[in-house]
Amino acid sequence: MGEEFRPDYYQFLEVSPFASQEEIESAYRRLVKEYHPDVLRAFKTAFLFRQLQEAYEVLRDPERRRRYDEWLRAKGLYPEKAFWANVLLSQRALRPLPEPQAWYVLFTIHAEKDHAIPPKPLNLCLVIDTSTSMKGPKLESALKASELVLRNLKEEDALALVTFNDRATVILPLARRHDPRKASSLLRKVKAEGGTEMSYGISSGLAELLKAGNLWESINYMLLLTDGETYGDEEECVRLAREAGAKGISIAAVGLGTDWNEELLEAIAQASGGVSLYIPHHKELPKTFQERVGALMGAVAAFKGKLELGEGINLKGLFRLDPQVSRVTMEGGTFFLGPFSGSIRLLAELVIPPLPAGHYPALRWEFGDLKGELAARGEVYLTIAEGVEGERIPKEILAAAGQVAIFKLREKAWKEIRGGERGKASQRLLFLAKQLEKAGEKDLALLAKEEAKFLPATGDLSAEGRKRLYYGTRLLALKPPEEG
Amino acid sequence: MIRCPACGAENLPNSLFCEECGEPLIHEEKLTVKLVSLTEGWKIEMPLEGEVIIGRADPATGFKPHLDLSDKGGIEKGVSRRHLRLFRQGNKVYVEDLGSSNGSFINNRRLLPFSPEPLASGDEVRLGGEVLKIYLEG
Repeated sequence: MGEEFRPDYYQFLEVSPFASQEEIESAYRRLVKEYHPDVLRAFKTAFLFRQLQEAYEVLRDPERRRRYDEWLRAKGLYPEKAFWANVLLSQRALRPLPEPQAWYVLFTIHAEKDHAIPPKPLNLCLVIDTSTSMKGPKLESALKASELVLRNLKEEDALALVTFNDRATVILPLARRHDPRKASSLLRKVKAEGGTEMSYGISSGLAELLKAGNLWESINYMLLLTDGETYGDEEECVRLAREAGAKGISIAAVGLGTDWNEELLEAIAQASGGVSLYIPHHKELPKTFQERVGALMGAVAAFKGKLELGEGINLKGLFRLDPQVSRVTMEGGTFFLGPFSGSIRLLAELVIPPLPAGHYPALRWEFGDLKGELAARGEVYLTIAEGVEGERIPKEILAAAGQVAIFKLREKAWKEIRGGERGKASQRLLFLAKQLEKAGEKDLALLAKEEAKFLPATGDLSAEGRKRLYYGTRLLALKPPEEG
Repeated sequence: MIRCPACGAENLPNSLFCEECGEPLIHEEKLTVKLVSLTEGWKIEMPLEGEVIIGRADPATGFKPHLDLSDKGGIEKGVSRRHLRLFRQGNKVYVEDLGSSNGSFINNRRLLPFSPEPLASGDEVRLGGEVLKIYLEG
């Protein structure tokens, strides 16, 4: 505590500091209906309503708003650049309880539409598995996909191509404006043979990307394709990915077919702020490569995030929801979010200890580029007050927590399978099936049920079921509950 | 701790979904609102999900209330187009006059326009000259 409590008025009105007077006005009108003491009779204190009035009175008045902005600026909490994170709380106030309780915070990091930040050129490396299993149409598709990427790059974009089996080979060293004909002839010579040692590929790919020199001036990305399990160098792969992330290089780890390790590819993605993807058939490779690279074209910088928890408050889990659900692992409070273009939602699940009524600093957050030029910061206060109940949980939080709930069921099932707990894992898949069915995901629900049936006997999932469930449960477009 | 209704696992208070089975823990129970006209004798039942606006359809603007009293003697009884609404907030139901011309009453007490009041099952609500008995069924 210590410091005088002053709520974040923008956060309270659920708008950003860039909001126009009209946006502030309409946010107030929407919220005042919800928090009017006549509506929330249960509020013994009309505290939230008063706070809402206060926020509105300050922000509606240009002069008072300017002074308030100055105060935020002095605290380093005013965004100088054109993006912001909106913060939504599952409840604005919690009752004092004699036991710990759950609280959820949803961040939506987004660029402000009227303040465009120019996108940066790409610094891209394709790292292609050329072990024996890639032979034939798979390799052909991978090379075709690579050529397409090369042809669609802009003049200022740089590209390298590395292949790996038992060792790594640089086919195209990092350069801008490769001669397409020359590149094609080099690609045609690529053969598939030997084993899979992925860390060589990653390491060599990183070396190419680092040739760009000033990584701050570009969007640095590795597109890693594999169709098999790597041999004994899993830890090295993740270590390299973490090193990449720290330098602003993200890795998209693409698994082709069903014979690779999804948990390894996901760990690589997580450690570097990238994504992992499942491609059932090689024919989809050109499209996937194009989409991945396309998504990078508007990116402004590689982002990282930082969370600091208030005293006694615990973070139970942190999840990103875009472009797919994944668990975010923090090191020393920071984590990589990868290239930032549109918007990213993050859900923090917090555990609040028993506390008496009052206001508590719960969370300090910061999102920005690795260089520290772009940064938005804020503080989230927790209010504990008697007699607060009946608050409506924002539908955005329910939708996000619902997606995360399904993700966590899947995660638990995998852990149980790994630990040989067949019965538990099978039951978990049935729970998953039930929730998938409710979410309207009939095919995935059926698959989970089938797998649950065979699991007690086999102790594992089918290769295809494993990949489909792992990736299918992360991309659900769950409908938020009906608006009321 | 709170107990999951589906699998019985214990979860922290205010958890939104069960850690064990993914079941939603904060869900609004389905609520049906039953309206009985004491003046006209008709009965109608409808689910109360978000809100129910009672009034008269306006073909000119395309406005349609959830419960249209146009063909139930609404004009003669002085029911406005947007007369009254019922809505849920958590598990409570509220009634709000939407600035109607002839006013709304709850148990013979006048409702201030745009000032919601809680509604209990069996309350009598008057819209102009139309008297409704409103029952809530969970």
